[in-house]
Amino acid sequence: MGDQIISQSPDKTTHQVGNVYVAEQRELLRLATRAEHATTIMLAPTQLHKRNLKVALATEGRPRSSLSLRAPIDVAANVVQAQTGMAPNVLDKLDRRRTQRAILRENPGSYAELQPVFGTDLHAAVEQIEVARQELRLITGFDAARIEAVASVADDLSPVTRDDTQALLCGLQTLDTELRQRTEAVVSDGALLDTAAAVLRKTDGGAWTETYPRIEHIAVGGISTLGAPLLDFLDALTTTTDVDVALYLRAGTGPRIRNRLDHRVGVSGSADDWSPLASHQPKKLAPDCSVTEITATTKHEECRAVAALVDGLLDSGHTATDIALVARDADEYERPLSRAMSVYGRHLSVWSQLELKRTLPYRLVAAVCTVLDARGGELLDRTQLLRPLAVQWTPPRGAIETPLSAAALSAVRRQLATTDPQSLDGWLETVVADGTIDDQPRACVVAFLNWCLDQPAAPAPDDVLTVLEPLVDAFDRNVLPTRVANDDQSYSGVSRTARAVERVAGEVGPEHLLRETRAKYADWLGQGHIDRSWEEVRAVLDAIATVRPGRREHENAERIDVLDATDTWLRSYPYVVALGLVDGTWPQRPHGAFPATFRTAVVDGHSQAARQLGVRGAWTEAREYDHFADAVHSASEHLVVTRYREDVEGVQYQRSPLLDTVDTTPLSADAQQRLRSVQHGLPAPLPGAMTTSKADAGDHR
Amino acid sequence: MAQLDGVQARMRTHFFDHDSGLFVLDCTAGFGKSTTAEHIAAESLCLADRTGTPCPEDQLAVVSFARDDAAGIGPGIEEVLELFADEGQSTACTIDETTATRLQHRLRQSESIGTIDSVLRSVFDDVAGALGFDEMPTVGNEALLASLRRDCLAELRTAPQYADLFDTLEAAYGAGDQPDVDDLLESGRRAKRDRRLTDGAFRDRLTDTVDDVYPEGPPSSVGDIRADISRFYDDAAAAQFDPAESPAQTVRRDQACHDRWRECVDAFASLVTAYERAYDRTCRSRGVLAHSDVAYWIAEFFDTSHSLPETHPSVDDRVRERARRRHATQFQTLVIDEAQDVSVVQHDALAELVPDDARVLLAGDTNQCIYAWRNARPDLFARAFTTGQYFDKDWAVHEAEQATRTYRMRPDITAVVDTLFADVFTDPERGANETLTTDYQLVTPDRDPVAAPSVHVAAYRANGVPGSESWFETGESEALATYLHSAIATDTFGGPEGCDTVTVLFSRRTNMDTLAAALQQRGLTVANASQRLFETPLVGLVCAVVDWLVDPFDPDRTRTLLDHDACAFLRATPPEESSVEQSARAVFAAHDYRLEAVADDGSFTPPVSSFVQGLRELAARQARHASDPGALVLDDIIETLELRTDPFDHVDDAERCLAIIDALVDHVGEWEGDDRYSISDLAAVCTQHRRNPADGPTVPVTSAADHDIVFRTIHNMKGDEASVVCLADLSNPVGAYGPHGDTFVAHGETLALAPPTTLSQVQVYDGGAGYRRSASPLRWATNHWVDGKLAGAPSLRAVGAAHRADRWRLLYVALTRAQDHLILSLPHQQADGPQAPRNSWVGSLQQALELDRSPPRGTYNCRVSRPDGDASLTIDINDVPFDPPAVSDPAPPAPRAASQPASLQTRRTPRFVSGSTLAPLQAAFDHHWLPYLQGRALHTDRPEPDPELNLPFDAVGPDTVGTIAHDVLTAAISLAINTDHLRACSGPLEQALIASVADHAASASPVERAAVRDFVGNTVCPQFAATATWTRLQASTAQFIEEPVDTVVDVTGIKIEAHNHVDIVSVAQDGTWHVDELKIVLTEPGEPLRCRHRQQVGLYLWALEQQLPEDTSDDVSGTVTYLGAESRARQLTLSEVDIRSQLERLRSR
Repeated sequence: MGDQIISQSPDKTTHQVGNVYVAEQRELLRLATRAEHATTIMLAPTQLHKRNLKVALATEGRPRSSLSLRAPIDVAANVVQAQTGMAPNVLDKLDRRRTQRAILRENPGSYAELQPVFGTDLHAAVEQIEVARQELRLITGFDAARIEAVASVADDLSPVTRDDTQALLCGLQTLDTELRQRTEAVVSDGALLDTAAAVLRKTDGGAWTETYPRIEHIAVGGISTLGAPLLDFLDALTTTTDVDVALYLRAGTGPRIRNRLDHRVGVSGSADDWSPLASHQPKKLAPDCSVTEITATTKHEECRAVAALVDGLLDSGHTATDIALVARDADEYERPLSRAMSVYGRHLSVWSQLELKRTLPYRLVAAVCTVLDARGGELLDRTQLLRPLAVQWTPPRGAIETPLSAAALSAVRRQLATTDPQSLDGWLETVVADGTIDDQPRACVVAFLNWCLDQPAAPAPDDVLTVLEPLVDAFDRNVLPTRVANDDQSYSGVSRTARAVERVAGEVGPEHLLRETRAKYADWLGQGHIDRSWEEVRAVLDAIATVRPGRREHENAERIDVLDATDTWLRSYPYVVALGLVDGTWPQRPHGAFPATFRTAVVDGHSQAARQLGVRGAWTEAREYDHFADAVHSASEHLVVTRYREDVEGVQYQRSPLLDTVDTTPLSADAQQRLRSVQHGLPAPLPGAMTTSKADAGDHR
Repeated sequence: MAQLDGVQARMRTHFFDHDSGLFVLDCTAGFGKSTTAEHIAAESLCLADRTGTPCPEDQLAVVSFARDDAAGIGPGIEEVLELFADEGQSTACTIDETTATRLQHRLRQSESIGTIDSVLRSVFDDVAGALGFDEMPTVGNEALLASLRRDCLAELRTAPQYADLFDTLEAAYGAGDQPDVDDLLESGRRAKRDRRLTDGAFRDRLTDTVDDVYPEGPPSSVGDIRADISRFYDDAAAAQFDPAESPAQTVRRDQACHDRWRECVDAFASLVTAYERAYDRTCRSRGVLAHSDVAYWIAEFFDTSHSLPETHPSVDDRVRERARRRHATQFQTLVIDEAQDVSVVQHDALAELVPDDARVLLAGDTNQCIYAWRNARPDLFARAFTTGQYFDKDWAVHEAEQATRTYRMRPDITAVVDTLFADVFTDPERGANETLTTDYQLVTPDRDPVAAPSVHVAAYRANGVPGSESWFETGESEALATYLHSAIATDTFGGPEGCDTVTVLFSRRTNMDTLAAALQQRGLTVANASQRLFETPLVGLVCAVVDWLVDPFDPDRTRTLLDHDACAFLRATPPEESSVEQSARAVFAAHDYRLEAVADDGSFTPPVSSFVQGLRELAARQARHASDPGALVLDDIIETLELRTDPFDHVDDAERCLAIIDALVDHVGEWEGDDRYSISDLAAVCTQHRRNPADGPTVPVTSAADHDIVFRTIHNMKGDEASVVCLADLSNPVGAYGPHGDTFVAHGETLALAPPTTLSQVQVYDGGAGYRRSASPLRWATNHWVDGKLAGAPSLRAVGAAHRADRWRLLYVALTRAQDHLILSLPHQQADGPQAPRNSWVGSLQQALELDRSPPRGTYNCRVSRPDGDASLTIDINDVPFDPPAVSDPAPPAPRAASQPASLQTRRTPRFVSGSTLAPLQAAFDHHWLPYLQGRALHTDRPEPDPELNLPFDAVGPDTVGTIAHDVLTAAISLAINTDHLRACSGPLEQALIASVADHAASASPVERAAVRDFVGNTVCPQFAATATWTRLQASTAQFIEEPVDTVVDVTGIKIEAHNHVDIVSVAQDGTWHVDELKIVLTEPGEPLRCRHRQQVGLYLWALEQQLPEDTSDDVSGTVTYLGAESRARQLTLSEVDIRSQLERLRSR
């Protein structure tokens, strides 16, 4: 990569490692200024990292028009487009799996070496194989020298590890080659970066200058993994243009990335100029505030203690935006924390991904697809027939503007209890003729059946939108407002459903289920993968809905933020509670698709060959330390770290080794008991503890 | 962390003196076998590390059985590593601190340390694909397995080819009761699988038992029957045999029994085989397995001695051998704790993976094998100890050590153990089966004796039949409660830090509630650590509500809910002082149980009213429940009905109520996993576990030390210890639940299906007379003694004896849990008959403790055997005051989580504002809140466009026109267009207009596009060219187009983010800053809209001011420039007061 990889503003002499400059994270905000045109591209791995950077700049009152915040693949796509004149088509996950399945099914003999690793039925193991292929791309970029390095590392390991690794190496290369041959599209994001790097080299940087004529610097921040494709792209950029690149690395993974950067790009790399990282024990952290440790019996008790703590802080005059709750996986704590907080009448804003399949709008369109699939005359039982009504179908047009009530639906269900499965026409006849059903529910069921019978039996791609979108609009119009009226004042249910309406059929933002489904359905129909049917539409809906969209904060600032630890990057709160500091949970055990011994050899980097390879974040606990360090540093006034000792089966759990990196003051058992009791008050170590709480003042809510 | 000594150290030396071999440590309770295992494991890790391998932990496997035991292995090894690094300690292995830290880190990466199930699971993960699974299945999810089993059996029942077989079994065993036969088939499948039997071998084992019972085949005469009686009982019984029916009829009946039995065995074996096929197929399709299946499939996969079942995909030898090699490393050093509990299938699975040159340490104690009913095979361990055969290998290096030292028990307690079990474990009538040696090894206590007695008897006056509820209720319970109360109140067992919690052990749960009630009446706090979750009334209530929610408007379901055991409060008559006259059930009955018809017009008492209201709310959430996962529905039920507060007193104390609810939601959540239970699924799971609560979890006790007394079953206590242990409810006869009461028996190599229970069988009467005369069957297992042996055919007799031996080992486990004090609850009276020593723990204990010589109260001495000769043991009997003082522990503060939830505290304040949302939110917060949550634009009423503008608005709307105009105007600035070009919209600006129309109005007709171009080019551009705004911008030194101007504002403590994109920020030559907002209006804007625009620009000004140095705050101004239907500009200056006031009005609705 050479000496062109430098940070824009940091002191290069301080941060020089070999010929490469690595910047301090604290310098990151200084990059931003006001400019008529952006001069720096900030590459961040996730949307939330970009968002956190914006918030950090806004908090500091810094203008940021000099910065353009981009995902690496967007930048790579633009570079490729500059040369080809059109936006590159990148295979998405669904199409990549489909193609790989076809390859493995049609050509099993070419992949016999993978069988001892993944089992005889490779077709069934396609998910695992894809993970391994991506891992190999990440560590090597399928670069010949690095592939050779993989083989070399494996040669020094036990025979079985060597055989497994060689099998992966051989089989995955063949698969990657065949994958590329089978499609005109770029096979993955990593491949797109490779392609962009090739374009830069081929045009000697011309494609870059044409695309980003005013960009002088690239900043890469928030990463725990520097994969070979991104590294090669940056290398190509710095060797073909005058653009500077600065890497803003993190506490845990940063040292290793820095330690082998020049080895990976082949600038230097004799054994003499490399020394292994000092210890498996991560460095001590120096928080900006004091740290209290709470050890609860179970996870539920831990959440109750945290809820009491939050309530105490709020009672003593702090506000919701002063406090953040952080866990390695916020999802894991959402339910127990919500339960614990509701006791105090308080609510959370969990920055979690929307589980679309568990929302009413999704279930409405899915249930309708199942019923419409019977347009061909297939039989439906009463449960299938009535399911759309149970999830509050209302007609897109007409006089009916309220969904059938649960009581009325129950009555209909009972009145049709003895009816055998029927076709839609048969059901219409039955319902119309059934005198036991009350008029209003009958009208609703008949309207539903008539609506179904009006829809095409073999849907064209556009029918996905023309049929289903009005249903979601009707839900938005007829059901959601009543849910606002019926929800509690925290609008917990409504906000989730409202998000789902947007995700299924919204008009804002890029990810909308129905539009994506129409496109994918059209594509697969065109390629002959599927036939026209509502069942296929539902299958596509199902496949796309599985991919969860990005995290999002609740728009209500009065809710307490619950963040994944990785999302605390650049964040700052006066009070931070880091939960779940239990060994095996945070940090989690490293994992990967390659054999553990091989991974360890690469991570340790004792050989020249090993140091040529990238390290996937999940291969070490350093990434977990990154997140923990970010969580620790996000607290400005007080940090509370919590953990539990046992699960509901009485099995013991150990203290997280991450806690050894901070000096903590344990909270006594008595203080904990008082904290979670009806007379609770903040324990002494916490700021604000001396403030008389409402409860102490006799103001029992 | 102690260092190794004695046998511990010797075993370590054996282990490391050899490169491979089998090392077997048989040791008594409290010996510290886990300590030994951890030391050896830690040293093995150090040795592997010295070879330079990157992953030394990959060459070591350490397994145990229970999850809680296994969870302690890793930390235990880490502690030993620390000991090795401690320079102040003299240890067999020495490492530096860095190495210790590194190895501790490596150890945490290991997948080979844990339960035997978890380690086998990691192996299975590697071969799941080759075994036909799409991915690693869910293992051990009892809810999924229960439904899988149910569905498989239901599928079998609908298959015509099995109809006759089901009929045969139901006629013989079910009497039409389907679950009985289903349970039998599941037991058969499990027994077959646990033994890895082929279909034929399974059938043969069952047939062998029939042959054993009919050694000469079906009888031809009464003489044949007498001969069998003589064989299985004795000659006297044979001589006394006097059939009630005629001899011919008697013989025919016995022949029929034989023939029908064989038919049943055939039908059973065929159905079990078919069921097993369906089970395996469904396991694959659903991706779920039991732990025992995992072990089974590993054993089958790697075993090349026979082919896999025909339903299984063929296995590529390369795949198998690679996997074997991969895991051989993992088992290079293998340590098995509690090795006596290894089952055949676990043994066979490991046998295929452990390499010939491995070092294997087995640590166990056959006397503590109490899981024979779960197919533990202590004989495997015993054979390993005595012969060196294990894992199908005859180990060349075989070292065995027997350890008798205990570091746990006080000497007096070991004396009781020795005195009792020196007899029991050498007595063929009691526990001599499956012990390691014929001699009993006396226990050597390591702890010092103490002056005060360590052994106590709480004696009671017996009443009724031993083992019956009345025996416990009327005799034992009160006496034991009084004794414990006195002992605790007077600190009889006090340690240095006061009285320890007393752990009361039961062999079964039947009488726990009775004793708990008696203790609680005396003011003692009791925690039951063995209570089954699905037996608790609170969970019963939740399950009843779940079942009701399947269709809450169905009157039948509502009636069922009201009649449920857990809903007694709905049937209770209201108190006299209440204005309510009828029970809730009566109110509902009056409305035909129609929920929607029942009004809450004072018909219910307050708590019931709240409950009914909760039911109504739940019923109205059908749609939400249809999309929520089951665990969330449970949450909703619990929160809505406020069950955390235990409104109807289903639970004794608040902490326990929380523990029950926590356990319920956790377990259901775990069972559900990533799936989504419908309400019907959830109801089915709940019903399943309510029906078989023993298959489900127990209620955890998370604060045992806070209670005076903790109840546990002996099984639950295995592997654990406590300072003070009391054994209660000992009177149940040892053979009470033996195989004679079972329909299907599986023990060791014996498999037996009982003769058809619907047929009458030949009965053999003993020599008693009148009511003492008892009968036992000739053709099945018995609980009847004849000449020191159980009566019956040899195979069944052996099973009966094994069952009894298991019970004696259970008593051994119970006695050896105590560290400092052992309390035995025993009757005063010397027992006989069913309480005779061979039949009774009570009888044997009385005999061993010479209780017949004891005083009614006080202390006495009895003689006990010790290695150094007989010694005297002092025993307390009822030596506590009869009038104990009250126990008055301060009650812990009530947990907040168990009290009424607070009213809503979370208010509403927008997290984000922008220029475009500030005014609408301020003007109509509630109206805009939902679209705000959805991230939608907050639309306000807009006047219709001016028709004179001649814009058709067919395909594009006013917003698009605005966007295009905006593109062009900002292009004029960024491209430094001169005024003439702007006025004429010519040159580059025209190109910008064409490009923007193409981008934003592609779907419009040519006519509409032309109209838009005309409006922007000929109206908007000239207007803009004529404005002062344009003139000012041209004179400015810098312009920033679409400038992001963000800030975070503290609004009375809440941080609100303001994100804005300002049309133009510019800097004048005098250094002042200016914000410009260009508004394209299609009709003259009214005052409300102008006001909104002023607020918008005001926010921009204020946000910009935050970004500028403090001394420039007065130099910021703004302009709104209207173009289109009117051309006008309005100047604005910053009013921080206004902005703050506007933002503060958004705070906390």
